[in-house]
Amino acid sequence: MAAQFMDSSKPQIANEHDLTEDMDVSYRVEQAPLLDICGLTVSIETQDGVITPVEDVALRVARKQTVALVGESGCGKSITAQSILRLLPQPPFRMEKGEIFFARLKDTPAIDLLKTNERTLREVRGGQIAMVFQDPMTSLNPVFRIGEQIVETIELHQGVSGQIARAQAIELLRRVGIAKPEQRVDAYPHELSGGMRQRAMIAMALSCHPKLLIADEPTTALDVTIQRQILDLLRSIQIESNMSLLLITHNLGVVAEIADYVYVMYAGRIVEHGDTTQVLANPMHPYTQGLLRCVPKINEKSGRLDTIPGTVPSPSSFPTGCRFHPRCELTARLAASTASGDGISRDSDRDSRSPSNLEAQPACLRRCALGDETSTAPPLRKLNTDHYVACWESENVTPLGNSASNAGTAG
Amino acid sequence: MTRKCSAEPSHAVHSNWRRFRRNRMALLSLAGFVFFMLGAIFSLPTSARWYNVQATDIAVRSQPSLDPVVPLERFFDTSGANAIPSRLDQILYRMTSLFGHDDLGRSLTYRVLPGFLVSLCIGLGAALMATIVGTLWGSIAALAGGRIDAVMMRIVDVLFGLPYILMVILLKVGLTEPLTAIFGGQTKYADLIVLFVAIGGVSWLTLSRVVRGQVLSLREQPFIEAARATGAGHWHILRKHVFPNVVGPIAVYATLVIPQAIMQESFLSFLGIGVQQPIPSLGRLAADGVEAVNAFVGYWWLIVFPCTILVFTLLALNFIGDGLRDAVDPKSNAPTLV
Amino acid sequence: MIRFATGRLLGGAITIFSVYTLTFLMVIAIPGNPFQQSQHSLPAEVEQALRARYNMDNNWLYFWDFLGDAVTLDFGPSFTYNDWTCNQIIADALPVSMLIGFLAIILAVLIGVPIGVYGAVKRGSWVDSASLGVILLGISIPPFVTGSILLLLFGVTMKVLPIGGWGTVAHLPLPALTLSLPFAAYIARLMRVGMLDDLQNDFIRTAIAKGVSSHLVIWKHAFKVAFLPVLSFLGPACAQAMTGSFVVEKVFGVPGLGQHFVNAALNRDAGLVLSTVLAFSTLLVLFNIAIDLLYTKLDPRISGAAG
Repeated sequence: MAAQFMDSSKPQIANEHDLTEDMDVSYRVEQAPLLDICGLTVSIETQDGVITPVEDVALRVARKQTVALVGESGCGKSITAQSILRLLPQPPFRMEKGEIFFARLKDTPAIDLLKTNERTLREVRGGQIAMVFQDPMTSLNPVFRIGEQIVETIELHQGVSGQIARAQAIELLRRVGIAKPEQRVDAYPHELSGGMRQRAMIAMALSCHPKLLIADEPTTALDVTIQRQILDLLRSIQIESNMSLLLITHNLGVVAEIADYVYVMYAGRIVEHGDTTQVLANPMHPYTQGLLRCVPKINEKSGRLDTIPGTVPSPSSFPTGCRFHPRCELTARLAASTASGDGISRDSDRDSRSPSNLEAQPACLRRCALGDETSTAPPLRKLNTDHYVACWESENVTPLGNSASNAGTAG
Repeated sequence: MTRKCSAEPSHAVHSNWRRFRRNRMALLSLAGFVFFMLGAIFSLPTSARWYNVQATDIAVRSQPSLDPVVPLERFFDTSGANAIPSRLDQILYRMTSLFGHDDLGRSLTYRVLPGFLVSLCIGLGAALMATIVGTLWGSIAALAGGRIDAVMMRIVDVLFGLPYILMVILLKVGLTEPLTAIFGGQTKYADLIVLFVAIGGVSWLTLSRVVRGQVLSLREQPFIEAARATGAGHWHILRKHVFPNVVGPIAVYATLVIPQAIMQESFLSFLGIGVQQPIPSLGRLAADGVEAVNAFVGYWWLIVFPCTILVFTLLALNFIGDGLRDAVDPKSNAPTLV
Repeated sequence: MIRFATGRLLGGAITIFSVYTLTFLMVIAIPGNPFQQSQHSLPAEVEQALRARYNMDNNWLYFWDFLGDAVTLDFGPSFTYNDWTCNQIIADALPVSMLIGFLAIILAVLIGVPIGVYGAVKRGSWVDSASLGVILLGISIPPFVTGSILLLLFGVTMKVLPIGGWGTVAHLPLPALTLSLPFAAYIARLMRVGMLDDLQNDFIRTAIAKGVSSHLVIWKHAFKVAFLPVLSFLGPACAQAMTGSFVVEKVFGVPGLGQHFVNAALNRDAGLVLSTVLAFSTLLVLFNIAIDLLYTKLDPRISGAAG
């Protein structure tokens, strides 16, 4: 079921921006994904010039699908998520390029949320796309009762009010697992625990049966024991109410559990995306591999947990070429082999197509750091039907783990 | 060794100045204010001689004009050694009737200019007084803590409960005699000092609260903890970490006390207990103008010039203070959605 | 709630007593006495009698005497206004001042709140600059100047309102407006700062993500929290406005209480100073308690703690 629409893309390079432009309207009407972000570029005007924390991001969410957007803090996930409902203050934020198509109604062309008028946008916000934020402590208005805040949403989008809306609010609170909802509906946010507040946030988001729920790190601010419950709740609600879920997280464990499809983001760009099972079983970007190695495994005996050296660069100092190359293990390995002349020999023996002779290697390194003639950053390449990766040296990536699944490199 | 504590907010004067500079109104106010102040200071030797030159015969409430109404001889002792006035004095003489004349025929120009400086002195004196008392009171309360803190702040609460005007008047009335005695009957200076002590004596309350709040919140900051953890002494922490970080807010509030004090002085002048005649101050001139105009509507210049300059002075000082506050507290510049 | 109110009343009583003590100390510290100051000085035997009656020669006794009488709402005679008791003076003047003050505070809220809110919402635009300019102008113009300008404009030039006096509705607008402007400026400033702070909160983003219109986001979601600092300011502001303003009373010839504050202090009229101060601080305490009760209604985070 996951990401069938990917099949129609071009054979080699899957630049989704081109793809949507080529498509005629009928495609969009009939099989368009629910949400289709194309080439989204967001910049911020600062005192020291313009920075671009999100660049050329393409992302799709199909109906009834759960999509995860993964990356370390500060890589642009939240900005991407907030752009969808135009929640970024402009200025200083600027939507430089791109479209965010949303298939609002069946049988009509999708609308571009970045260009639509305020009124339509308000109908979409809360009514068709709902959002749950990271910190339930600050995301609920402290001076209104929980019930009032849910009822407000219902009144805005469903045209019912008074006792009917209140009854719906109580029902919603019950549905998200809040005990004694008849009493809690009149509670103020500060009278509830963090987990309860997040449940109330989710109840508020669900109140108008949205087609898409965007959850921006919904569990990060909560206790570990509560995180689990909230995730289960999100999962069950997504299945029950046939909606799509876009989950922003930095936790690959969460992704494995809940997502059908996953996008990996680094320094403002999508570096790898694909069907969750494929990406997690066979990550082909050194960054994804690094993230996976950082997930603690219970049944593994080794004491030390891996880390990715360095930190995410700030948008004002993104590296040229592949933005991950200063931290990239593969680049380091290629550099070492260039210096010593033997580091990569075994790899090259195995794969005759890779340009592994000594003269070619400095060129490879240049590519990591500077890019080639067409672009500086590596484009997303199709590995197989449901797996894309943006790495200049994707041929040289060693598959993770001990299983001999070389499908990625062979594809 | 304690200098490199992490997360210490940079009390960088440079970035504050950069933020202040972007506030165009504040910058404009500062420029205008400095320009006017320089003018008043440079003309002070002249206006000190001319501010009380009366011409009851020819210039009583004469209108503003570009030509001097009062002849040159009235301002200069032409019989003496310096029979020929300097070029600068001649230029300044051309301005004597620019703002018109008051009911004693005195040049309003040369009452407004020194009056501006007198008001500024009262404002600065009161602000200095308020800053010293408020800073000491607030920081002692914060550092002592416990019962002393409670009592000291309770006193401030009670003082806030007193009518402001009554306090100023009582202080002014009460202080006049002893302070005049101290200055050996020099009423002119004693009067000014009484004024700013009285005004400063009621203006330190807000400042003491601000300082106490700042010191208390700073003591909880991680970088102070860090300094303490590295073994820095109490005094060292105060000097190196607390003091530099409270200077900004104190300076801002002190700046905002200046216009308040000038306002208070104008109010006291309106009551008739401000600076004593014939010393001019902006408040005194404005209050006199208001009374004159209420009685005789025609003499608009008596109210327009002093009031305009008083209002512009206060406005400029308030803009500067506000700009400084925004610069010191950058949080208020974060973007919002709506 | 009742315990909270009684606690506050007790605290208020302590505050009033402290204010009284402090004022008393200041009054006896000031050289000179009312009998020397008074323009038409009293006959010696009358002065003697008054001194004896009110224990003026013994400060300690006078202190307790006055306080004891004041508790039963008897403030004794004024030492400058012959044949007037302080009770009469306050009973005559306070209602006048309270009416003008009440109108002035309502005007101040009506003027100040929109200016502050729109300044914060349209930040960086000309609306913001204009609102900031108006706020600072309001703080910077002495009331006697505003009063005179209004008087010249409406009373003398346009002749639509009387130029002074007291007794009809037409006498109300100019004094009330003059008195309200500085308060309006402070309210606008507090509102602006509160709104700027509040609009940065996460729950504002939540409200927008729910599809709430920006009008409602501002006036419902942001306003309720941002108004709280203004509310705290209103307590002292009401007390100050309703006990009258000397300037407004002098400019418009209004028989309010403000003039008595000034004259009593200038004349060292101990009885009148103490009475007016007690009136002021009682009003202040009552308004502060009222505002605190309102506050707990508006901010549920407080009422939880207050029990």
